[in-house]
Amino acid sequence: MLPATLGELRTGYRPVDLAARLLDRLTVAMSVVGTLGILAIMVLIACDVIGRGMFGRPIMGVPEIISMSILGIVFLQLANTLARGKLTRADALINQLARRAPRVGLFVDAVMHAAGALLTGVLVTAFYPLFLRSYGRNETVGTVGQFIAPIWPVHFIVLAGATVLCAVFVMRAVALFILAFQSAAQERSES
Amino acid sequence: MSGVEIGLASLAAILVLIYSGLHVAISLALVSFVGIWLLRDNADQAARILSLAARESISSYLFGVVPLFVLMGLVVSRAGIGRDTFDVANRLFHKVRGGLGMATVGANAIFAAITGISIASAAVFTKVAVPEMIRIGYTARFATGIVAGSSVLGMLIPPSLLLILYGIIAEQSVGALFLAGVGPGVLLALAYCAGIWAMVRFCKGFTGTPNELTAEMPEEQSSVASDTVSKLMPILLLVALVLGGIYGGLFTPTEAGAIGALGAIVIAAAKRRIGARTLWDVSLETGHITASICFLIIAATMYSRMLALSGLPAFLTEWVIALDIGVYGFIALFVLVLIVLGTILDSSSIMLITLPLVLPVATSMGIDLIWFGLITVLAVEIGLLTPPMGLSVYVIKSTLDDPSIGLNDIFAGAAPFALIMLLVLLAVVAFPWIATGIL
Repeated sequence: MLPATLGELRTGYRPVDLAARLLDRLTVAMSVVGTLGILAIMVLIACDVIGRGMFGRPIMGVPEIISMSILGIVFLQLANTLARGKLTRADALINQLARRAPRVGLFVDAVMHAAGALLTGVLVTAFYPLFLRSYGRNETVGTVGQFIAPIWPVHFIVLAGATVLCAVFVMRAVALFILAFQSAAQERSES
Repeated sequence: MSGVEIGLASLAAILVLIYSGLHVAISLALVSFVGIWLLRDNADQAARILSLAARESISSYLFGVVPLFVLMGLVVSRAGIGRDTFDVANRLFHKVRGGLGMATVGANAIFAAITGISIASAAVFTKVAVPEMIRIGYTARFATGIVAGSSVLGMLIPPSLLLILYGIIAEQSVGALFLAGVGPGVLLALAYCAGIWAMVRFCKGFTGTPNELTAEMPEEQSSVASDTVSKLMPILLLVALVLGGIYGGLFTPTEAGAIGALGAIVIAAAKRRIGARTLWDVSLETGHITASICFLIIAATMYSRMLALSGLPAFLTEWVIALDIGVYGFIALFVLVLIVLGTILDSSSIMLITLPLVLPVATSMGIDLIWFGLITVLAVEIGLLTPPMGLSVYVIKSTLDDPSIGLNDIFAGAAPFALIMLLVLLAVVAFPWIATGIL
């Protein structure tokens, strides 16, 4: 089997392992905030429903708050989801490959994560101008007089979340490449 | 290369990448990025479409339902509510041939009305029902097969994550889809029960010889009644709250999700079945599932924009209509593709990949998109039971933690249930009113 979580990827190089551990901590912290966000929108909607049904007083702007915060919640969780090996993938074939030829399996998995790093890198650079615009123009959501809020904090979370996601992809790619080369060296010394 | 050729090539590239193990969302987004780049000959524009999809596609009120229904499903599955349902159903069926199997199906059907994910049902009933069935003489194969088969009900009987997903992609009412899921769900549960009866009667070699009549039921009448009430009440309450709220027009689906999740937490806490620690773990797991699904949706949005630019959906529509295979021919082809993809891909990925291509075809043929949604979900769910990647089967295997029962046994046990699903699917195709009748 291939190593599933960031914590399981021990290369033996102290700087690499230390960086992986710190990065893992960071993703955990973000994921905790995201999880609190889920519980918060649950309570918020419930209060809105109860307030509306029993006291005829709904909370203003709940739909806007939900639609904004769901984006933030997802990007807060993404990096940790990847670090825990829970991002959806069909790993049946690659796991079989890893059983038959561990070195090739590690190498292929490293290439996969490099591809992920590439794509999320493109996403981060392309999202940056969007964030700058919503921050610079102080764009808002909602209707004047009822509920209005700036959108840039959510875009900042998306940017930060995508950046950390990219970092986790890079980290895993690096660690997997090192492991692949180590096992290659091992095979040579044995033969 | 023409647009359509680029579209077809990217489709092939996506499948190859996914099968070789690249994360599904990354495969979709990466190929879409390269595809748009080729189509427009402009990398900046491709990147821009990527970033816009990240900003727009999930930022909507409707997406609140995803974490909320996942949270509700995970809470009820940890709170022992599945075991309660099984106890009650068991009392009801214990004198019938194959009764314990039917009780498992029945409990799953009721449990499905408060959870929207098949995996949760599979994990719960593996722990609760499989040991009991093996104890009274079912073979391990048959017992796990029953659990695998009936776990599918979780996605069919509302609330259902897959129906929500379909509603989002096809822009159909989630409430209407939920309502349409009831008929096929109940029919499938009944068909399973009939199948279990017949198999226990005629294929003893496969099922083993259950000894239901000697299974003791040593409780007094009065305590049985009160116990049944106390075990069923929480479920009925949650069902009334969630489904009643949606159909009574009291709640939007998102609100029903929030009330249902909160209600499940309150009930589980009141029964002292869930502590702060478990609640936190469950919430974290909800976060991971939500992030996975929503990232897939973002990637699928990029992919469908790439498809639209390539002109492939329009080309496919003309091609299918020129083939002159009719509505049933088209549905047969589509179902076949879904089942083949289901051998390795997870349900939500399959829907996100295929639907942007086939929905325009279905619309132009005048197919009822609610009916089409139920057909899609049923066909996709057959893949949960078939090798090599039947997700339900893997969940059962890992929950069971018993090396003497192999994956092959569980797949063999699930095979008759996959067949019954196929028959029910045919029935829904032949008689659309099974799904759309109560709308």
